[in-house]
Amino acid sequence: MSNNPNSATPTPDSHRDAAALPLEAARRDEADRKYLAEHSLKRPLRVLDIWALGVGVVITGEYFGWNLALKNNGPIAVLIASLIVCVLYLTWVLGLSELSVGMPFAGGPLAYGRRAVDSSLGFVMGWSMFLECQFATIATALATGGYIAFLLNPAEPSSTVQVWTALGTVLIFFVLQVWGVKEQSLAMVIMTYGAILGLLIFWCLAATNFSWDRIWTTALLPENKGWQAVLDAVPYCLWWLVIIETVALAAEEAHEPHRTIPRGLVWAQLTLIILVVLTWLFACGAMDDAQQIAVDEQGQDISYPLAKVIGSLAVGKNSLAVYGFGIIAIFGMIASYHGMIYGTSRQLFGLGRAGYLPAFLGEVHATRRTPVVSLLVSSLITAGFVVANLWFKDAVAVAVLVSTLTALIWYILAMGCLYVLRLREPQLFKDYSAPLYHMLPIAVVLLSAFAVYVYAGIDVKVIPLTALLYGLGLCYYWFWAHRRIRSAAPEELAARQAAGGGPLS
Amino acid sequence: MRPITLLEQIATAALALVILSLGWIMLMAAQPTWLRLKSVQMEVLLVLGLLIAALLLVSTVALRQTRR
Repeated sequence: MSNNPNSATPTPDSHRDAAALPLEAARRDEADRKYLAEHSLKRPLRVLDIWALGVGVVITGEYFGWNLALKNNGPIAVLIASLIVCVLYLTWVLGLSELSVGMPFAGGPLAYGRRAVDSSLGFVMGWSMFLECQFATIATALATGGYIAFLLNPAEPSSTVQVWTALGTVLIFFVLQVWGVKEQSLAMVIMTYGAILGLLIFWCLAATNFSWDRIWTTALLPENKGWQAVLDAVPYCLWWLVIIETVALAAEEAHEPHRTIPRGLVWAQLTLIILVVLTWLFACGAMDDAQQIAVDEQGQDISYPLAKVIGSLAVGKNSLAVYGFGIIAIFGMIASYHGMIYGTSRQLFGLGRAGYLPAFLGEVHATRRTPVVSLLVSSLITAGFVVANLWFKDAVAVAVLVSTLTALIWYILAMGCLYVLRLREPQLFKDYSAPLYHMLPIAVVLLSAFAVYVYAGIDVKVIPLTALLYGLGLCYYWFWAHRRIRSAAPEELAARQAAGGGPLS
Repeated sequence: MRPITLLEQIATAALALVILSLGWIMLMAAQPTWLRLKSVQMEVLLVLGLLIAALLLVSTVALRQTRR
């Protein structure tokens, strides 16, 4: 017998092993295919659907949240901060398009981190996006309730009405999302048109009291703060455009993602930038004091700023104007809520399907192929926070800031993944590569780092809460989930195949 | 990797200037007496012009890319 350990001389045992290995691999492939088939989503989304999802999910940012940036900062500081945010998001969607076309999975950031580095980074990125979407969903549900409460009693909106209508929104959109992805996509397109119509009405009404002098004020920046006002405005201005990355999660449900995702995302982003500038312009130009859009007479944050502007105009004394706008404005809120619950549920679904969170979150409805369990869980979390708003009055501001902070964290990590994967697997991006090849990820990282830096200067202390949420997630991952990751999940299979560890195709 | 067009080079330069301007804004937030322009109005106009130019250039490059 040869002493060479690599000898080709067959032994009875090696014959048996050689025969067993392909059988074992085939069995594993068959099991993987079955798991994928049971956990797969439909692919009906086209460019218009992607555009509508992108605009619709973000358009709530035009209706509330950004107005808090006006507190002690003035209109010009808010404009500069808004344009910085627009540059950040324009570059971000281009980088994101490249990643999502290369890895069109519902897990999105989970897939990017897993493939570029390892499952720990995948979890951190996926968890970040889940927190981003979940807190955005909470803020939007509350603001929807706030708008409806304002409509019912403009003089003194009731917090009880706000909570009940927010809970109604949660229930209605849970049912719609479970119904089916194509049906909810059609609803999204209709609601997005409604939301844009609401903004058009707002601009027309606000134009009746518009004055340039209210925008280009004598002291362009507040004299006591100077350029610090721009920094203070940035965290709230992020809310104009945050959550557009939900579209990346739709890549697994998109027809020809290499065409539909970049086109839909870029057009959505450009539409939103126009909406941002015009909404800022007319809101600030129509009010004698822009501060009145941020806080009410009692010093409470306002979650219905556009309705507040209309209510204070001469044309707003006509109840038809106030109620007409208010009803259409609700389209904007629910369009975004609809898109956000889509993002939250898909992220939970992706994390559950891959084993990073409990496996039941990765289940889909037997016939409709919608992630029913993750939809239920994210809706229940939203409902819990909505009820908590009765006792915690800063809920909207905190939810807005946690959502934007967690978003920035994964933008930076995602651009790191893009760099690593471009170097290691250039063929991954053969179907679509973003313009400004080297500068683009650098710009996203530096702009995001700038935005994270300015969080240190804001009043609402969200950093400890955010750190706690990351701590909880990481504890679950390290002590439980990392030994139970599903090898058959698409994100995991793709990463293993890239590393040469799995034959499934 | 495909060749970089002149428009992309200009857009890259505009983005680099935007990033430099953010560093400048962070310095200005401390309200120093140095590194200031003639007036706040001029500073604001310069920063706004830079941001708008970067947005227009990057948008144009992005739209051209999606047509391929």
